[in-house]
This record gives sequence, structure tokens and C-alpha cells, in this order.
Amino acid sequence: MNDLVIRAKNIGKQYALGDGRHWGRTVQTYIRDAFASYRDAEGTPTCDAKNRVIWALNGVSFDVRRGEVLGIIGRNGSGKSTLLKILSRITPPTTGWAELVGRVGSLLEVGTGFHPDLTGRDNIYMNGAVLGMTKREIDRQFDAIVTFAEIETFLDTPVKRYSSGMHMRLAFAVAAHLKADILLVDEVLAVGDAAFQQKCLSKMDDVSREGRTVLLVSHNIASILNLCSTALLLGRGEVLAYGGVRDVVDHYLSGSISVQGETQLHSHDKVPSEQELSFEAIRIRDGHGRVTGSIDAVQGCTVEVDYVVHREIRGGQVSLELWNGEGVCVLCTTDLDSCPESKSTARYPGLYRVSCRLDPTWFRAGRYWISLGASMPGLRALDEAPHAISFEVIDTGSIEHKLTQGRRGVIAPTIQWSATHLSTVNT
Amino acid sequence: MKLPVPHTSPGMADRSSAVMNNIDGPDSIGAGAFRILPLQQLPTIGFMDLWAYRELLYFLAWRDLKVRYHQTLLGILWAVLKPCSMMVVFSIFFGWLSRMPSDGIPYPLFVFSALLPWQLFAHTLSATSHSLVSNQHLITKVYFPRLIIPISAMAIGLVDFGIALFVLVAMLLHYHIPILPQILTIPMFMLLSIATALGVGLWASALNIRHRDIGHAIPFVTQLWFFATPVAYPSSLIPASWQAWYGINPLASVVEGFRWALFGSGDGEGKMLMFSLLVSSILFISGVYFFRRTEQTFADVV
Repeated sequence: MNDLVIRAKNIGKQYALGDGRHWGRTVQTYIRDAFASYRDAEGTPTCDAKNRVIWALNGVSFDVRRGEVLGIIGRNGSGKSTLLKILSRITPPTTGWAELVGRVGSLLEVGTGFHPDLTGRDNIYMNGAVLGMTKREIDRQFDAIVTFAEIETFLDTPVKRYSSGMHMRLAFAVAAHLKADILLVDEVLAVGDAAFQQKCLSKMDDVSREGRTVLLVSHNIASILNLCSTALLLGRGEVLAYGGVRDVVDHYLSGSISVQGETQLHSHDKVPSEQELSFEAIRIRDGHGRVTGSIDAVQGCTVEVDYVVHREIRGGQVSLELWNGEGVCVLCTTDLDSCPESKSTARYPGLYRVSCRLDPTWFRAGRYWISLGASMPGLRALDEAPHAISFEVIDTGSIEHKLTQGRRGVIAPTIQWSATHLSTVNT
Repeated sequence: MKLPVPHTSPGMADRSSAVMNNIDGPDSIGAGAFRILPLQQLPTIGFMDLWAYRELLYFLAWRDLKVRYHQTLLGILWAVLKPCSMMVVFSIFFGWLSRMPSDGIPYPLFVFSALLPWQLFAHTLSATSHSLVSNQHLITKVYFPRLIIPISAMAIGLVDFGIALFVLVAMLLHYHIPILPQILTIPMFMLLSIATALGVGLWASALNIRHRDIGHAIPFVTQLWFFATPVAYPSSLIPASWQAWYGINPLASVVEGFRWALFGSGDGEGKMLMFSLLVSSILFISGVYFFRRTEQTFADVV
């Protein structure tokens, strides 16, 4: 009747900001602090560096049943990894407690303990031992690991001579054969080529079907939806939503991150008087017109830019560059593209708003940045706002995007193909 | 099983119970569950946990040994070359040029018999004190009893010692030194050397993870320690009234003990040895205690 295998109760984790307080201080900070207290005596207000703490987790409670696959999602810095570190006993919580039943395997990273000078064979044993496998278990699984990693021929080569793909495959192969009742997995699927990723995903699916419990931290919403039955949404260390995976993901994609999606670029008092144009704000709106930092891959999105013209200009243009997470400029577009005839029209002083629609159906999932520029083409720059805003295109698992997952290319548009049956060939 | 009571404070009841396993506290999901609690003080060595992870200990030591002389031409010969070349240098400068007294023992043998336990100590100290920092990628990613790291780091020193021991035996034969019954006490002096090194090494490794200054200080401290240890000179140079106090440096007793066990030189160092045993025990016990008290925060401060 009692099939709970994990219970976390009120878990909190506090970190000191800065140099880690009295333990981590170097001589310089000792001296600096000595002067700081001297200034305090003089009555100068100083920031109390010693008391700056952050709660990476705060009051996190949840239960996990045997065989359940719980996805943990949230933005960067929301405490996902800290939670896994606490559950894997790498770091103790500041408050609260957690209980786990059975053998716990933590995969916060694949290939932990790999040594570049050791051979593939040696590293399988080393990595297995680090993950908590016994020598006998590794012996038993050895052939399966080698086959899974597809490295038979390189077994006695030092792993420093491996390609990064081979290295990754070997590392994941060992991890995938870890026999544990509870698996704590952090982002490990974000590696390897697409075919291997698929193999790992199905392996993970097997794992949960075998009745093992999995806690999976991932940014990849599609794999969370695929693998998990329940999900936990963290934000600033607190549980924002907890329950069925679909509801939690919806919550994640809508409300919780709407604070993102808008950036104020300039305040009026900062604008130098000689500037002719200055950017005010940029925001991203989803298909329903809501300001948001994350875009569903099948919806459209609109980029809205507010700018102020301080003095009348003629022939100016506002341009927008879209950069992806790998630092590649995906495209560049300007407000003159669609109506070149407006090139010489005057812009009179005042507040302007331009918007353009980007069609995310050809976006690949991931993070994007927009840089803004305004210029008199060929003459001079008026204003610029590099990396003014970032947003995320989220793959919600639409069929089109599943198909394009394994492909190369900066963009993934759906392109119309046509086929004509020209003749019949007799064979 | 009780129903979950919302917002029960994790409070004092849980924290005061030092036993980590099988707690039937409020809300517990049952016997057999492992409970993770806020920072604990762990005055014990955690021997059960160490035993459970003994294979990892073995694999870490095995890795260190395997990687140690990887891509070297001379390989394991280095373990012989290092003490031998030091012996040659000392024999030339102290034995031959300065005519350093050596209690009637041929000077090369006099130095070599001391270099062996000294290098065991110096290797162990240096390896253990750097072990946590050089294995930080493990500490921040996986749980295992942290004591395993400094303990496994001792393997290299022991293996090198074992290899150099063959050279010592060859030298004993060469100089026709008769084997004395007290040679059987050698493991005891080795143990004293290791315990001292590990005691200091545990302090140093746990401090080094916060203050990397320790890592810079250790080679320097080791060098000073070397001159405070009667390796190149006999402890009979020290005024007799100070001899016992010399035992505050456990390595002095180790080195003199080795010479006594091999050549029967010098005796009546019982007082000195007592001092050394005391100092070494204090270092070792406090080292383990400090290490265990701070180990839970290693992943956060590294």
C-alpha cells in the first residue's frame, strides 16, 4: 500500500553570495572588509556583503511513487540542479528533509570519473564504480555497454583519442546500464547526435517501464512531455506548479515567464541631446498577442519595437538581427524591406512603434536573441541595442518538429515538395 | 504510514536524531528509507559507508597508479630513480664533502634508509592534501564517502615505497648488513609515517578546498619538515637533553626507528617515540574529525 519512494519535505537551500563568507575569503577580502567596517564607522552607507544570501530552494515538498517519472522544469537558476544535488547527497539542504527508498543512482553528468589517459575499457570500470556499480555488476553488463556505445574497435584506446561523439556514447552507455531503483537525471540528453539521443530516450523509456523511478531535469519540453507522467515547475527556488505533466508544462509556457518578453532599452533622461533616435523598448508577443519570453513552435510571434525620434530624420531605417544560441545570425530584416518606397519619408519627432511578424514554424527549438539597430544606411548609425531581448522557441512536440529534430541547418522550415510519376519502369 | 501533515516543521526532532537510517519520524515514508537531513555533525569515521564503497576506493587507487607513469619512457623506474638520485646527491655533499657523522653506518645506506620512510610521508602528504581539489569534478557530481579520496591517494606513495624497498634490500646485501630481529617493527614505523601524513593531509585537503593557499604552502612546509627530520644527519647531533622533544616531529621517530630496526643504531628513544605517537595520534584524530565535520560542504565551497 505504501509505494512512495521519494518524499521531500520543505527543502530549502541557502547560498551565500559573493565570496562565500568567512570560509572562502581571501586575504584581499579580509582587508577590504576591514576598510568597509572603518567606513561604516564613518557613517558611509555600505552594502552589507556578509549578509547577502540567496535561497536557491525554498520550501520544496513533493512525493514520488514507485515507477513514476517526474520531470523537473524551470528557467535557468530556478533551483532544478540544486534539488537534484540535494537528493543525490552531494550537498545537504539548509532546511527540511528528504527520504528515498532503495538504491539511488545520480546522473548529474555523464562520464563522471572518466580519465583521458585510461582506455575505454578502463573508463567503463572507473565510471561504473563512480556511479556506484560494483565490479561484478560492471563485468556482467560490460558487453551490453560496449555494444550500446558502438565502440568495440576502440576499447583499448585511451579515451583522449576518441571523437567527442564516441566519448559521449561511451559515457551515456555506462550511465544507461546503471541499475538503480531511483534515477536522478540532469540534462544528460542534451548531448550526442540525434540518432543517439533517440536511442537514449528509448532506453530511458525502458527504464521507467521496468518500474524504476526517475527524476528528470530538462530544458527540453518535448522530452519532458514524452517521458514524464508528472512534473514539478520550479521558479526562484519555489514550487510554482506540481502535478500532471501537461498542466505543468502549460503553466510553464504561459504565465510563469511572462515577466520575460519585454526589455526597456533607454530611459529618457539618459538620452544625449544630440541623438536623433533612440530605442525605448522591445517586446515579444505570442500568437494571442500576449507578451512572453517563450514561443510555442507552432504559433507565430511578433516583435514590437518602440523608439523615439528626437529630431526629424529622413532616410533612416530600423533593423533587427535574429541570433540563435550558437551565436549564428539567423537573419536580418529592416522596416524598409517590405516598403522600400518609404525610404525617403520623414520621421518627425515623437514616439513610434514598429512591429514585425516572425514565423516560428521554421525556427528550431532553442534560445534566440534579437539585436536592434537604427541607421541612416551608408551614412551613420543612430542607435543600437545589441542582444536587446532573448526568447525561447519551445518545441511542444508538434509532428513537424519531431520530424526535423535530427536534421542539420540553422532553420527548419517546412518546404513544399511535389512529386510526379513520370513513367513506369519494368524490372 | 501517517498521512502527510502539511507544513510540519522539519524542526528539532529530526535534527537531533543523529542516526541517518530508519527514522520513523513524523511523515516518514517508512522503515528502510534513507533520510537526507540538513548539515550534520559527524564525529564518526563512517566506517560502514566506507566499507560499502570499498570498490570505488580500489578503483580510484587503481586509476592513480595506472595514470601515474602513463606515457613515460622509464615508467616504474622513476620510483627507484628519485630516491636513488637523492641518495647520490646527499652522499656526495654531506657524506663525502662535509663528512657528516652517520652513527657508524655507511653514509649512502644511512641516507637511503631514512629517505624511504621520508618519501612515503612526503608523497602521502602531498597526494592527500591535493586530492580533494584534483577530484572536485567527482565531489560536485556524485555522492560517496569523501574520505575515500584522500585514502585512495595514498596508494602511489605505498607502491613507490614497496619498489624502493627492493633497492634497500640490495644495498643491505651489498654492505653485508646482518638482519636484526627488530626489522619486524618496520611496519609499525611505516604506519606512524602514514598516520602522520594522513592526519596533516586530511587537514590540508579539507582546508585546501576553501583556501587554495594550502596547496601552495604544502610543498614549502614539506621542505622545511625535511630539514627538521634527521634524514641527512643523525639525530645524535641534537643535544641529548633535547632528544625527547625532538619526538614532537613524528618523522624524527620514524626515521630513527627505521635505522634502529635495520642497523640497531641508537637506542633509548622510548620517550621520543612516546611523544611522536602522541603527536601523530592527535594529528590523525583531529584530521579525521575536521574532515568529517566539513565534508558535507565540500561541494558548495570547492
